Amino acid sequence: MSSPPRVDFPTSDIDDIEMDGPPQDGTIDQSLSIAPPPQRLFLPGTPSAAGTPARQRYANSVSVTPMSGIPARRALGLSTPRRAPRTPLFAPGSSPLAFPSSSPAKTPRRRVAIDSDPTFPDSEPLAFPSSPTAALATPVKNRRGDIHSSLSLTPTARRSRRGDYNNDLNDNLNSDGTHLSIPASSAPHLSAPAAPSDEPDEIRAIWGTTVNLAETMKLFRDFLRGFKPKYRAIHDRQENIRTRAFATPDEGEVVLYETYMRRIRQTGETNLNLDMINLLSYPPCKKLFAQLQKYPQEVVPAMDQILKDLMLELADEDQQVGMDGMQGDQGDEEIADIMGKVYKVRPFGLTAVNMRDLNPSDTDKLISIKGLVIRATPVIPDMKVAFFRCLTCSHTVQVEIDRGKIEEPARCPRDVCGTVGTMSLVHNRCEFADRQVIRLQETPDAVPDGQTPHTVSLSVYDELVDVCKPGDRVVVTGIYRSVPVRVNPRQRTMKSLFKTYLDVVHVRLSTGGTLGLDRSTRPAGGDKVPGIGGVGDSADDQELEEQIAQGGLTRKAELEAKLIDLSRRHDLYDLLARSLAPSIWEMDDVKKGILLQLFGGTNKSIARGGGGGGPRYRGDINVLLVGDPGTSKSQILQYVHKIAPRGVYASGKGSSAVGLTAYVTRDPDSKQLVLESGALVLSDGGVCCIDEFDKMSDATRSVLHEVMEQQTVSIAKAGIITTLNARTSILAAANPVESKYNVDLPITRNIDLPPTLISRFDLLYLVLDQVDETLDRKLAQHLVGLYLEDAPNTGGYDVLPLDELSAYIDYARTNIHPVLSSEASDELVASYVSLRSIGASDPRSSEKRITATTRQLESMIRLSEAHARMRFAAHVELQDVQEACRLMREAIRTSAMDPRTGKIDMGLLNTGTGVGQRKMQDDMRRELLTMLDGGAGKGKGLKWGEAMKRLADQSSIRVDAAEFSEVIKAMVNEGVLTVVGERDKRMIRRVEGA
Amino acid sequence: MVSAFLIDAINNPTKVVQELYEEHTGNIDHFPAVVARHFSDVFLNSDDTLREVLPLDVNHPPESFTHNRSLVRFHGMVQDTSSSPEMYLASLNENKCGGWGISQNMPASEWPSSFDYCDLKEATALWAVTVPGQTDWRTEELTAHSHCGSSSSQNAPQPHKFPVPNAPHIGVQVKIYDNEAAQSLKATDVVTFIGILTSESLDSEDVSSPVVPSLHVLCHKVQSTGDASPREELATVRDNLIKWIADEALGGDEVAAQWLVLELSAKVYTRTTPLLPPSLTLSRFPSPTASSPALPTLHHVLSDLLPQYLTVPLSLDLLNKENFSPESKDEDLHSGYLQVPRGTTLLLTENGVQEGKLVEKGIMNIRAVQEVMDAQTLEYSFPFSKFSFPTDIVTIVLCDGRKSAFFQTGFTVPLEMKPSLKDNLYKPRDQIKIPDTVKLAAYRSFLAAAKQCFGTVQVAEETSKHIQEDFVRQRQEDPSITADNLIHLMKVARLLAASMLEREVTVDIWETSKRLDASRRKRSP
Repeated sequence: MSSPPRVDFPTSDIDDIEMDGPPQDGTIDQSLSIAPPPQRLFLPGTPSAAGTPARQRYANSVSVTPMSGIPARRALGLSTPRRAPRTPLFAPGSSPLAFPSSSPAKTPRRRVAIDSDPTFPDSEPLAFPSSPTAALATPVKNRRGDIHSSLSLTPTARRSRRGDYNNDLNDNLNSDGTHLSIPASSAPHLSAPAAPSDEPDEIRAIWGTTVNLAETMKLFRDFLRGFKPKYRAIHDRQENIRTRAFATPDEGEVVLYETYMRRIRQTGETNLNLDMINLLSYPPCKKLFAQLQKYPQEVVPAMDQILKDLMLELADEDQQVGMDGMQGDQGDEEIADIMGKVYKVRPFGLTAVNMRDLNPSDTDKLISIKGLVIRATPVIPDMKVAFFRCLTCSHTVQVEIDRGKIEEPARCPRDVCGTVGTMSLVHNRCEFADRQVIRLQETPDAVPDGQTPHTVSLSVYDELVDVCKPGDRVVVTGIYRSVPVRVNPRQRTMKSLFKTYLDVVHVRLSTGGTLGLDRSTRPAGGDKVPGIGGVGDSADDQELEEQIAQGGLTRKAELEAKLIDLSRRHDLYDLLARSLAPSIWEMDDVKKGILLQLFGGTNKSIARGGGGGGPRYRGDINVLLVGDPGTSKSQILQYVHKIAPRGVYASGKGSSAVGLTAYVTRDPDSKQLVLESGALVLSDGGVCCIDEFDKMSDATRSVLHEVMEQQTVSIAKAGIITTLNARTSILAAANPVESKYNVDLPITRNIDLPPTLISRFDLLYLVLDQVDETLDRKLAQHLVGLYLEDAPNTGGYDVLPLDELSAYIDYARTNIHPVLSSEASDELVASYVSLRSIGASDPRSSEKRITATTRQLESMIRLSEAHARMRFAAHVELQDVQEACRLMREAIRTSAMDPRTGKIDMGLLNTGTGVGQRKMQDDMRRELLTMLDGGAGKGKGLKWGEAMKRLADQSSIRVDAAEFSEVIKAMVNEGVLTVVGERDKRMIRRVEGA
Repeated sequence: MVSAFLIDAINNPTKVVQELYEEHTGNIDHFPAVVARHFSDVFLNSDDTLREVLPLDVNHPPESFTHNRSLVRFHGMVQDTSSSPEMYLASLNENKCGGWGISQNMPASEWPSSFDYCDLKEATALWAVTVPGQTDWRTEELTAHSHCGSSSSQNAPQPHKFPVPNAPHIGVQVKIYDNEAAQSLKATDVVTFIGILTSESLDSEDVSSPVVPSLHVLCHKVQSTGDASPREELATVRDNLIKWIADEALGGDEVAAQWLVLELSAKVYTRTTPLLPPSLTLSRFPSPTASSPALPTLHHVLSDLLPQYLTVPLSLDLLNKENFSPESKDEDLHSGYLQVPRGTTLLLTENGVQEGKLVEKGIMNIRAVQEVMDAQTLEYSFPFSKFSFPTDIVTIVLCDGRKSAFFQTGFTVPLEMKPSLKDNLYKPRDQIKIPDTVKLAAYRSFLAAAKQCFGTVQVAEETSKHIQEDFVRQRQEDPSITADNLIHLMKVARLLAASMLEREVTVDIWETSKRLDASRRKRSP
């Protein structure tokens, strides 16, 4: 430890085994690394070595098992069962390495096994100490539930200076001394060849394959140390994937995984997420990609191993350099910390296949599937190591899980005992790991038409437990397993059937999965997948989606590419607008307005505000259609309901705003059964279409006030008061009061809706039915074309099919969140000012009309955001604002035009009376007073009808009865007049003295 | 003609499979297809050979097959395709064939000492039930096997997987080894399976799962929807049929009967621009009196005419409690009334509805029916996701009032009975004057032909011009006529053409349909 390790220590000559990494400055035996130690460990002649010299005892390893033997065993041509290290230890007959009996080995080694209990001379401890064989110790064993590896590498074969340190302190008793004295520098060269390396090369080959493990490990090592983002960029370019441009050339030159490893060290993480596409794009590692995919059980542990080695190496280097946080003792601590950890590589990034396409030949391979989590079990303690004790001689044995099974020893392994059937499980000495079984179901986009979705079981382990919850859409990478089914767990009878499941190595929550839900309504950062290292440094999601697209296999990915293509069309706006309800003829502006409603503005919350992120500004656009019957308003609504995310359709008649129950009652008038249904404002995050809005009961409508501005619903029912979110856009249709729109009356008089409610609609369209021969003919042509031709002619030009339009909207809503550019905000301000000044700048009028209020400004912002979103643009630009203003103007022109003056007046919508009307009321009032004060009715007052008649005579325009009573009412309230009598006999009297 | 193959196959299908396997050893990948081909050749080529196989149906429930592993045929509807495929070892020791339930269980000792993952093959597993709503005459036609009087199955396993609660039916777990052919099977497809009947636990991985009848399919055939019946001179049948329906079931109201026939001619035409069967309400249909049967005569008449027909007597209780649309609970797809094969006619009677509360489920059920009426799609609910399945269901609503309380239907025809025939509406089946078999067969094939015809009706150029002119003119006269009226009339014209077995909407038909609709309109207040 005195000599600082050289960074590029030449130890690892070519045929040196896998993990003899550079800073190999340990002792001789340490440098022997994986393959050699077993020899030393088990050769009967060298008992002292059996104690596994200095393998990180301090790592307070709970589980202690000699794992390093396999390659060697293989090399020796022993018939290696899948779980190699076990056999030699417990099956005496089968191996030359077996211990003749447990007793001789017992005492010296036992201490290793008992965690942190250095002394126990006696052999009958209460806690059933492990028998020595089991105690043959290795450090923290990387026992991954997801990888039932046939190959167990000692997680750390390498020694670092630090390690020795601690080891020596810890168990110098055990050490054979060699490693203490031999200075690091000299060791490697000598030791490597010196190792009893009688084993030929195939020791490094994965059993049954031609894959050379050593080479694999070397490749991965190269990869971690050599991969730079630029390789990925090159790869992506070859595959014709859009790549993120590097801000600076340097950015492409970072050694990405070293950065990640440092981050792992700093954050104390233990998982490295490895994007397999990166493997593929790093030229030397192309082979590794295929190997990882085909033999994950062997390759992943090897990778884990390398990762740990490199972690140490890097820590060491950093300490040398004196990097921040790595100086002196701090660095030592860090390194010690790293030594004690188990690092896991979690590969991902394979093209996700449909779970239907999994077939038996994928067994034991690494695959990736997508789906929807429908069920997750509670955490299951999964036995990793079983602890058995012989009832006769109290000899204890640990058995590790092998391919999901624990083989109960049939007889006591101790030769002297050897009793059959006496081994009993001691539960509190067994080791358990977290496990969870998850049922994953196909997502609707992956299911073939007309079929019901399939499900598969996933097993997740350790860190991945509880990462995904039911309802999440995930992309998982895992190893596909098929295991035979037993007829009955108690019998040994097997079925010729297999069950299949996936051992998950990586889970990725797919955020794009919540299509149809406004993402801003979900908590941010709520879900976290463990591990460091994503696809790139940033833009994780985006890139992964693209990767999937590159495979071109999933329908969704294809669709996305198509949508993006679509968004580049110059006639996009028109195309989308005409695709919206193509069976409805014309009404372009209405369709455009509704289209923007479907896209919606962005929800904003002001972070600086009070608690909980401050107030939230709605991004939902509300649209009201008012018009004559039979003008396809309902059809539009039905259509929108179909394509809108979480669309809810309700008819205003007999609806209640909340709740989902309904009543069948007899209509008191017609004695017929009628259904009163709930109007379901609970279309949170979607669009609520309300037909026959005017027929809604006042109580229900009053709920909508709250919904439309605050976007919540408060319920007080059965003693429970609660507020529910109702972040919904409202598309409502209403009929005019007298069923036919009276163009002479202002809109507020035409619709029986409170002005406060009307003003909450961003866009209000009048859909009037005008009889016009040419228009009618065109309409008929359109419809006949639609319904009678064999190949239905949908408007004659290309339109998007419903599902595509719906997908486009979904995509935009989930992925595009435009922000205002400065240009746009200037334009918004200008437009707002000009809209507001329309009234004021009219030189002929003396009074000031309000043509726009801040509500209209907000509407304009929302509309321009929606327009930008429709274009898939990240910023709201000038054109968006201009279109928004145009739509606003159109809508205002139809809705807020004072029919008497022909001028736009928002007061009409906001208060129900326009300026013109107010002026007229003032006139009326004045006239009425003169009438009462002077002339005929003096003192006695005037008859109601009489007064109206006389007013009408004076006036050039019709005196409206409702307006007249309004004026009277106002005057009564002021105390200027009194009204006596009922109905026709009403008298209007001047209050004396008033 | 009973070939030796046939006898062999019927007597010991397992042996035949094993023999085939020996012949085709080494071609394990294509073996299931070989089996399917072999058995299709033997059985599916003609109805005669098919009928040699014992049927599995309500009259021949699985329990009645005492012989283990007997060969049966099952005409059923695919109810659920969501079970995971089953993985089996296709090649066992001693060159024995795996699959088809052969050697399900074996002691571990017999377990192949080493097996290759390549020998693992998949079998598609699905759940099939007796075709819901298949009328008796149709069943007889298909079975053509004398009722041997065996008691009908009392308690079929997994009753929640049959659309009609408490109805006698058979439910079978079907395992299809020929995967490629199985891929195309969809929910509500009607399929004839021929296979080996066994009984196995529902979930091979779970010991506690119930034991259900399993059918290891050797070959299967999907029923094509349009049985091309010869289009003879069936047009004359039309008037007779209308008269018969009117006299027997609709109190002599021929107009209503004519609308009914129009409705029965409808099916899904295209979905791109939705041209879907409209729905029909027969309003002013009196409720049954205490003494009369609860089901209207119409029920019996329709079940004698249609191959696929189902009555749902609506009541609040039924709406609130039963499923209408299928729903997956605990990964098991529960069925609902609306999960019926394409081409089914549904009669909903509202007469039994009383005042009361409709809970959430009831509303969802009503919505599901309305969705079928409007869009011919049915939503299956799965946890966290919903899947929309296309349907082709003709719905007819009977209600007491002026219009249906629950549904908006395409047409509403108020019934106008002749007072003398008032009792016709509710009478037991045995009082119906059923025409002779030839006539009845003619009626049946007429309706089938009309339905088929609906898919081919065209509109000639000049007719469409005429319609346009007509619309413009009418609108000049009466501004209250809107585009909706035009669409409505065009639907009627199409149906009328189909019910007259015409291939084209002519000006004549257009005018007739206008008159027809006007007479209907006159009735509605």
